[in-house]
Amino acid sequence: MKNEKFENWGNSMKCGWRVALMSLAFLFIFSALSPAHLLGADKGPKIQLKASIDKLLLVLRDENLKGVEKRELRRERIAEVVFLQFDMSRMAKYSLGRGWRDLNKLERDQFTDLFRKLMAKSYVSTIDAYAGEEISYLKEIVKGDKAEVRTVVVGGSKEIPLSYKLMLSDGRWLIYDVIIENVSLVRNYRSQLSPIIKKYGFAGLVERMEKRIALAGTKKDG
Amino acid sequence: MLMKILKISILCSFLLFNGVMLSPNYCLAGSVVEVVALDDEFAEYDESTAELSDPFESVNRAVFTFNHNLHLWLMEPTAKAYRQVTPSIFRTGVVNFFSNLVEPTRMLNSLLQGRFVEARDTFLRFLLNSTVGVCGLMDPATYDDMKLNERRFATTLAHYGIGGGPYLVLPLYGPSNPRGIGGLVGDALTSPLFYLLNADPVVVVAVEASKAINKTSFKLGEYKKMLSGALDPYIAVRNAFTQHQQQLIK
Repeated sequence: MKNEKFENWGNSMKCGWRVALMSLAFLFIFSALSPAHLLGADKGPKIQLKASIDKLLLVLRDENLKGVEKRELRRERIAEVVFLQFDMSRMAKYSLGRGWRDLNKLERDQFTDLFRKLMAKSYVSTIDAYAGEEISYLKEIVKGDKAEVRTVVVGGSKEIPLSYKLMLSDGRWLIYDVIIENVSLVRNYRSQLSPIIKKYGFAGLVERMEKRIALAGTKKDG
Repeated sequence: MLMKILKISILCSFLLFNGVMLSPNYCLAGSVVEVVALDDEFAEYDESTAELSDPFESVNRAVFTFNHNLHLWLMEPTAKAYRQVTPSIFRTGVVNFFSNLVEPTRMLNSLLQGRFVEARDTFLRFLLNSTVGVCGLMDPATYDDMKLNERRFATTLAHYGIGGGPYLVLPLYGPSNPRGIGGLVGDALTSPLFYLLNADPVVVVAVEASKAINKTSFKLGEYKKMLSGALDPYIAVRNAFTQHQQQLIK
């Protein structure tokens, strides 16, 4: 009996291939089922950011989406890809600053929604101006659940430093600030929003944001 | 003497339409030091959100509006037309030529700031571009991975701890402050171009205007795009300037 068992064991050892494959399969299944945040954390912000920018570049380089007449469709696609990588509610919140605390749930949602629309109009049109520049990824600085990834966009002899601030949430590194040529988008918005909300209140801010959104992307606005 | 001062001040007020209004390029690479308070998630942006003092806001706003409209209704259309009739290699040559003439100023300021390696590199760039690059029309140095080090008098003043002073929007030029104006004077006085043109205000203005149009031809529509998401363009630009100034000190 003992011998037989041993032989069986030996047989299966001969099929070491199969064992290896099975354990690999197990690993895959296991990792697919394991909490997403473990995976995300493993990958690191820089690798995740690069993956999402590569996805964006696919859209930007898509021959089927080129030309003025496909502008709307293209920008929709860009927004789709880009905003998956953004933590828009955090971005909106930080842009408003401490005034956020004075808003109720409904106002917060309304503001976040308007902020998203504003970004969709302005930031997406900026990305849409992409003309084949090279992007090199410099360093990543990780501090707990926050990170900064520095990149440089090189077009011709011009270099534009572009940094992203990310925060780990539910296992993914999501962008909450973009720093273009040393100018932080969140800081820039905060400097504009606080005086407006102080002077005209929340209603006045909403009015101005709606006006801006209506204007952005129209012919008059470029 | 009086005439000279007059010339210089005219020069300064008209100097460089290009520059900060479109893209403040004198920013310096510096590490971002982040202080994050644990108990307050908004604190990350506190220290950095401090604005420059702007006691002349109403005047500044008026000048800003003037510059803004001048750019949109005069500079952009002129640059667009100019772009259609000139090959890009010519326009790049113009940029390179004038940039090369600033290299002695850059080198001097690198020296003044104790950045000796940088000063040497700038000197080598100047040498290479002036010879192989045919009087600076081409920029072989950059292709050779010799990077341009943008050091001007404004950064030297900042280096020695001189504060920026209140925010000022200069007609035609754009955002600045007293330190920036001092820097422009220093830059002009150490520029070979200034002496080549005999410090004649009319010629200087004409040259600067051409330079600005040439430069704008490379970034048509960028200014508009930059402000397309702004709720208050004046503050958006002022804050961008503030952030650049803070980089200057770091």
